[in-house]
Amino acid sequence: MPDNINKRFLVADLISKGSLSDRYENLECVNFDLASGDRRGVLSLVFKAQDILCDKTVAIKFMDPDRLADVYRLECFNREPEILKKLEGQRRCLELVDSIKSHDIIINFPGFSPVKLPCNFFALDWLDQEIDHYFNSQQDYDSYEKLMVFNKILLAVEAVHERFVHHRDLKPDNLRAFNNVEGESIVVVIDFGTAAAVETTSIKPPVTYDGPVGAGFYSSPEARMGFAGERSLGCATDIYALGCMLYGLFNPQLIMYKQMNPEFMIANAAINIEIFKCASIAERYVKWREIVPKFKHVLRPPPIDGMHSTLPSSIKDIISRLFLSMAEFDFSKRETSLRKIRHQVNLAMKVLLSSKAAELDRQRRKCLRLARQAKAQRKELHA
Amino acid sequence: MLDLLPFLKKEEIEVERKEIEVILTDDSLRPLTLSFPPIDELEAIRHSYLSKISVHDMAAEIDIYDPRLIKDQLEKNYLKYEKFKDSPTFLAQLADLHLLLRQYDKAEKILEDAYRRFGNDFLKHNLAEQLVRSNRFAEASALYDGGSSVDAYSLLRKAFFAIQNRDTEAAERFVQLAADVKPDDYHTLTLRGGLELFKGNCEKAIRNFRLAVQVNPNSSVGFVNLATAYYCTRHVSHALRSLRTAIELNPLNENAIIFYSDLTFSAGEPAKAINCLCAFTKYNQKSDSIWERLARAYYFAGEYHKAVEALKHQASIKETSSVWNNIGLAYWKLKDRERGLKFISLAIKKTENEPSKLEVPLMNFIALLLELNKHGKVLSITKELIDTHDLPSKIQEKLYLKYVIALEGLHKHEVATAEAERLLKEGVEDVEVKLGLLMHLVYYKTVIDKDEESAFQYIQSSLSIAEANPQISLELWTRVHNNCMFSFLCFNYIDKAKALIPTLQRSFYKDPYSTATLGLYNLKKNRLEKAVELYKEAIRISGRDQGLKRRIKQRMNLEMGKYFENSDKPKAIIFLENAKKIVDGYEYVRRDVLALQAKMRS
Repeated sequence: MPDNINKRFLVADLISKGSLSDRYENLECVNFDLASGDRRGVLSLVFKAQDILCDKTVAIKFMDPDRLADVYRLECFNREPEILKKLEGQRRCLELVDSIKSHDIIINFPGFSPVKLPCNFFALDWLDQEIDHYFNSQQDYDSYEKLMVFNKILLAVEAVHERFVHHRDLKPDNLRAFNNVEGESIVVVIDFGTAAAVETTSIKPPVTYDGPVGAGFYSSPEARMGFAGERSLGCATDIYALGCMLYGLFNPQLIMYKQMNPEFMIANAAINIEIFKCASIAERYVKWREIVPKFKHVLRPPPIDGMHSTLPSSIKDIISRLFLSMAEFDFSKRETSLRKIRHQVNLAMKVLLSSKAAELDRQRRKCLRLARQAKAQRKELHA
Repeated sequence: MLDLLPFLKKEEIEVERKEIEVILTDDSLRPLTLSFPPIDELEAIRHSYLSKISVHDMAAEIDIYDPRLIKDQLEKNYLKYEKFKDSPTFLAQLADLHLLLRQYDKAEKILEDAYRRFGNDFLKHNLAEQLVRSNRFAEASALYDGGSSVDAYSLLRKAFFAIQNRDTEAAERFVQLAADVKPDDYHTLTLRGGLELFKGNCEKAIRNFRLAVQVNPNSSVGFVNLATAYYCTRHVSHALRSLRTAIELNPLNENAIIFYSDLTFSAGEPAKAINCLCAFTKYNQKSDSIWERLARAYYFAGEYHKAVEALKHQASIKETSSVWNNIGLAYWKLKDRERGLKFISLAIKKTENEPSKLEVPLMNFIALLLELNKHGKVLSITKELIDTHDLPSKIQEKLYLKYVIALEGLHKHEVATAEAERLLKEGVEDVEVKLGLLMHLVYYKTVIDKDEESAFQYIQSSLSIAEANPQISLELWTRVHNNCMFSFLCFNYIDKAKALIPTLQRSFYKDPYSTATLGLYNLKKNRLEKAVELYKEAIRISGRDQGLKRRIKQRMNLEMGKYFENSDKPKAIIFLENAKKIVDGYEYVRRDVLALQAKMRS
């Protein structure tokens, strides 16, 4: 595949050398397969490595060497370690291990003189304890457990926001569990490739980007509709993603799939037409305020307590209200205080704790889970 | 003041098609000598209005979420397959991703395997929906029957299948079972309401639909259902209110907008639908039904330029006889009668393959020719059509009326009157035509023949027919009563005229003819100032119709001349001179003026 040629050179070079900058050893590329050419992620190549200086496992991120001509992506890549620097010393935040450095690879083309390709990289803490099972197997966890983990996610995002950074690509895959020095299990947000600090401005022309920012499932309407570069909306965008995650904790179906009804799609198309007609961002804001309220009923998120929801009736009202305020289509009407959101989550947890029915429910589900695990183990043994 | 052309503009803009049984060949249209709008104008309509936006099309074609991102997510999920392969949620979401990428077979296979392994309701419903999507109703129905428990959703789906098979009894049974499980479910209530409506139990339908919108107050469709049930029970104001809510909830609900537009039109307030129709065309310009209704609303709101614009949009989507006819009418209203005539001609030409739609453009064509004073042409066309074609009696009667009006226009009063009397004697079925002929006779016997006895006889017939047919248009109702009141006043039957005042009350200060007649009544009652004020008001509300203004002035001067005939001769002479000077006035008024002047001189 010609578009992966530089990636192949870089991965082959690092694996053959076995070390990087005399500090990192045992490098293993985790999102690009040298043999098949399959890759994941749009921005970077990620290596798992051993940091011999600090004696710990780290993640090393390289700018995708096949996209060095993409000035916007390059700017985004260079921005990530700067953002992580802002989070230094903050609890529940990912640590930057090594700031941006360059590693040159020499590419030999037959019949030509060798070409030097400088590849930028930086190093971060390696965190591999995923929490996606709360979402992908939501039926196996009781509501209290789910709300507890959601509360930890909220705390992690709040920690990032406290340093005036907005992640803008929140999703279960970008969250990791971690036991801190006190032995407390916490959740940490990773991958700040699309994050932005409040005080910075969006990447300036000649680089222009008008496309969506964030994961398809969890990306907010404003991020899809021409407001992606707006720093002031970063907080609302993160809260929308958290709202979608809250939905995913209690529903077996994807929120985006539930939204794919003709009315919702038509209203989206209508708003898109109007917003992208506007020449300036100021006009877009005006148009948004004018047009979105007209479709507010059509654009309501699907009910979190709908059919097949695992949300217990005792906390239905609290969580439904909270979900609606977080997944509100209109960013100007969306809840923006993570503290208030946590308060509601804690309230729901208290209700669950005090409810005997919730206790029984938890025990029943635990039994079911254990039985399923035992069955799986038996199957494995049998095999 | 006598309204002499009561039916000239009766045929109005056409939205709902009328069905008639006449079949006319090309030959029969030869006497009409049709001429068409310039080809460049037609081409401009066909092409310049073609680039249209439709959010409905866009929504169907464009994915809100980038398919590449979904594909990427699907790949990521497959990497986790081993980890979560025993999770029904994970498998259902994997199927969702395949569905979003329109990979239905793969989604179905995943759901089928998952349902076989876990057997829960969620997977059952998803799998059954997939089967419905691929039109495998029997398999879906069997699946809904299966499972460990009976759930309301499955029962409702079964009810849908029963309705599809026209088995309403089974549908009702399933809905009842669903209601037993989940009595306050929106879908249960909606389906129950629909079944009641189907059976004609509108009150029960209303009850169910109302409960449904209470459960889901954000459902635009729910409010349209409620409006339908209200409409069936003739609660038009309630239906309108429900439709307004439906449109507010979803401004792009085409069904709701069309229904609302038609209801406001039938309630006599078509302009009320303009806002929602306009808002719709901002996002979807490919709906000819919406353009048609917007044009109608503008037309009746008197905004003819905008009506033409909307009709041209409609014509660019679908060229029909009615759209050309409507453009012709709008140009007619804009006083561009020649252009109007050309578009109506085109409408007639378009009915070659749809003869059932000929009536409206044909009648409009004749009415427009009458307004252009082309009486001779109308006479030949109507005569040709009546004599040489086996037309249904309804159309023949209408043509006869136009024929009589054309004779009158050619000052062949006696022939016109004889023809009208003959027709009435032979019997006329169409009430409006009958009243039209009677109005002609009242006019003739009052102002030309001055035959009091005959005039009263026709007045009596006219009033009793109007009384017995309350469904006739308000415009015709007003004109009948106004002309009868005028006739009474001409023969100095003040009390008989007075008796008609309450009937005409609503048209005073709105309709110039009735207002002028009230002026004459006041003059007869010796209330000179009031009479003058009313005549002036009648002239004012005649708008841009200069001919009508002149005719009212002419009539006022004649009546003032009569009023001062004995008390103040010089004043009477001045008024009569003024009446005589007016060009384009009524010939009979001029004759009366001359007669009065001669009498005064002698």
